[in-house]
Amino acid sequence: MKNFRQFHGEQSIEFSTDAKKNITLIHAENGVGKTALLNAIKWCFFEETTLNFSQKDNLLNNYAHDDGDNTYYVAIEFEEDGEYFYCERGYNDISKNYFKMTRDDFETGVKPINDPELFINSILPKEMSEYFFFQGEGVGSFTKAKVGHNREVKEAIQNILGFKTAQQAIDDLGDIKKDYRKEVATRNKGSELAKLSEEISKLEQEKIAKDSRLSLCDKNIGMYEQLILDIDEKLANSNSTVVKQNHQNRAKLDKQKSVLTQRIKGKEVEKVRLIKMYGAHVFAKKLASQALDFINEEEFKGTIPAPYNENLVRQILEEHACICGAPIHDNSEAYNNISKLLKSAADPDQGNRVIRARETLKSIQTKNEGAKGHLLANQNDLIQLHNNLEDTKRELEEISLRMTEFNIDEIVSLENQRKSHQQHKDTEYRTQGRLEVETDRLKRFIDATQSKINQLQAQSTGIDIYQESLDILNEVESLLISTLQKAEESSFNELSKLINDTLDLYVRQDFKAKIDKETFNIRLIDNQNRNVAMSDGQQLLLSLTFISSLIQLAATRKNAQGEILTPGVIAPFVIDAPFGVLDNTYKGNMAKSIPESVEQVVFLLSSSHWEGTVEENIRERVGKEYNLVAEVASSQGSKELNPIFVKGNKVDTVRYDCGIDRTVIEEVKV
Amino acid sequence: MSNNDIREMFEEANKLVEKELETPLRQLTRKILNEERKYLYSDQKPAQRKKNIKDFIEEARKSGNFKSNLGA
Repeated sequence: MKNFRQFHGEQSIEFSTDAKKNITLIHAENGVGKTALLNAIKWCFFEETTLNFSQKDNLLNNYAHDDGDNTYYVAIEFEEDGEYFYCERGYNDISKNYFKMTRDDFETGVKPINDPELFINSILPKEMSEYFFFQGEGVGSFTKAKVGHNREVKEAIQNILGFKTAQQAIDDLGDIKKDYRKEVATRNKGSELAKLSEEISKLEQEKIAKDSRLSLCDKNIGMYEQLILDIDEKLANSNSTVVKQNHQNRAKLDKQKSVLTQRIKGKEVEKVRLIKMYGAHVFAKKLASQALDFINEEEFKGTIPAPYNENLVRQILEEHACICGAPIHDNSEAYNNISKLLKSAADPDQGNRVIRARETLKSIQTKNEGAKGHLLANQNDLIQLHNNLEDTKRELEEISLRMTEFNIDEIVSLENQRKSHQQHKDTEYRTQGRLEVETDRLKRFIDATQSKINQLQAQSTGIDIYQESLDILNEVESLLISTLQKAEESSFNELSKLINDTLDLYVRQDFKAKIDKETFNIRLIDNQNRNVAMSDGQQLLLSLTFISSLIQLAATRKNAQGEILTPGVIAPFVIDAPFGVLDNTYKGNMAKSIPESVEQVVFLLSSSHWEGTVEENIRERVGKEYNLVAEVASSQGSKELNPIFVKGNKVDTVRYDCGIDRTVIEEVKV
Repeated sequence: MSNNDIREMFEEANKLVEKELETPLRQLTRKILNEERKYLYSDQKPAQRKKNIKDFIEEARKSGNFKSNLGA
């Protein structure tokens, strides 16, 4: 790395890759750079840092910055499944922020990798990396009993099992499902359609009943007409001259009545036509009159259309010449005055619209002039015709009355029958008229309802498609959820076994760990299955065991097949200040246990972690050892040197009177 | 039966198992998860991701194979 925080200049570490000596031990006292080193690795891979890493956006070394060197980077070489990779994240004045990766292939040489962010996550997913590049301080919180769910433990298990992608997919499918359901709900007009279908059925039945009654009316009218005709024939053949005469008069009046009825119908039709023709114009008369007055007034004032044409004004300005031929120069007084005209110049289209509006308004006024005359004439004609019809009916009544006054029984009887038939016929006519209005109304209702049904049916199109998509989505979702559930359930036993294998070896008492499947709380239980109130040390021990077990679980899942869960990973366990409150025995036990359960370990230890039993427990497995030395520009003064002792040899932790303040990485060879 | 015959027999059986596992549902699930990976670990925008997933579902629906092959 170069110029990363307190590590000024280029510095490097080679981590141990020896399977038997799989520990890289890094000594550093507080504030020298343990956390910065851990974060250099985490940042290089994922551009992320741990929560306790302060000023995470200020990564450039201060001295480099003061010297005008803005370049900083962290580069890591690693091997994965027999292939060699190089990745580098950093900043320089040319590339600014960058991240690049290459693959070193024996046959084809070094090749850049496209989309390095995606690629690095395919090797070590970001969410799993949290448990490999680990900040030890506060690790005990994993096993602190939580009210409700222990979110930390749950997330850790799910992350190591490779849930992340599937969980993201489940979330997205949930959102998409909402969209689909919304579409289905919008399009689902089933209940509305059913209601309308029921309504239209009722209307149709009602209309059928009325149509049937109308037919009966027709039939009855025909029957009464026939009966009347029969009587009329008998009366026409009467021996009485007076009866004959009356009958002839009545036939004439009947004909006249029929003609008058037809003419009234014609005039009624004409009335409707006139209302249709003049209605809108009568309604708009006042408005049209006011609008026309406004246009005329504005036109008189010269505001609409404006007295000069916009196109003409623009042409004058573009051609720099007046219509009289005089030149008009840019920014001259004439030019500026003409430019001002553009603000009120008339758009030719606007002018045309005003002309068309005026013509329309005028036509409304002209049509209104004829309306009153036509409507009044129609009304007078109707009154006259109704009067004539009433006269005719009265005359017919009189004839009928006269006919019953004859002293001929047969004639009287015939006339009474005729009167009765006529009354029935009139009743049927009235019923017919009423029914015709009602069936007409029903027909309009039926048509309107049908049109509504057609509209809803058109809106319902596509509902099947969304329903089908929803079914497919549900299948995918079920597959994902069931896979995650199965994986989580099976992991409980596996993890418990891994944790308890370690506890059996290193915990004094006969305690076992238990992960609650509901709450994810990790508890210690005694041999009577009772909960143990854990000390801080026991909590830390259990937490560290849990983390190392997770790493083992990730390793066992490395070659896991299946497309839903992200496969596990084998990666170094880099842990900063892991042993905190552990007593000497537990400290030694954990230091011994971790390298046995993971493939490669980097311990970042201060003297408080290191001193005591750690060295004797891990010495045989240490493959590489480094010391971070604080170089200080100022003099020592009264400060103490506080060296540490590695295999009995004194090792510096600080040096004074150096050129600059920085941390240097020095390999310890003992 | 020679060792080669036995190996061949197992290879054939393995192919059959793999073929049966390759249902339209699994194909669609894999496509969706790959899209999610791009989003989680690369720089794909959320709206584009959901649109693409909808497209995959639509493709699966239109294929017609899916309907008759529902189930893992």
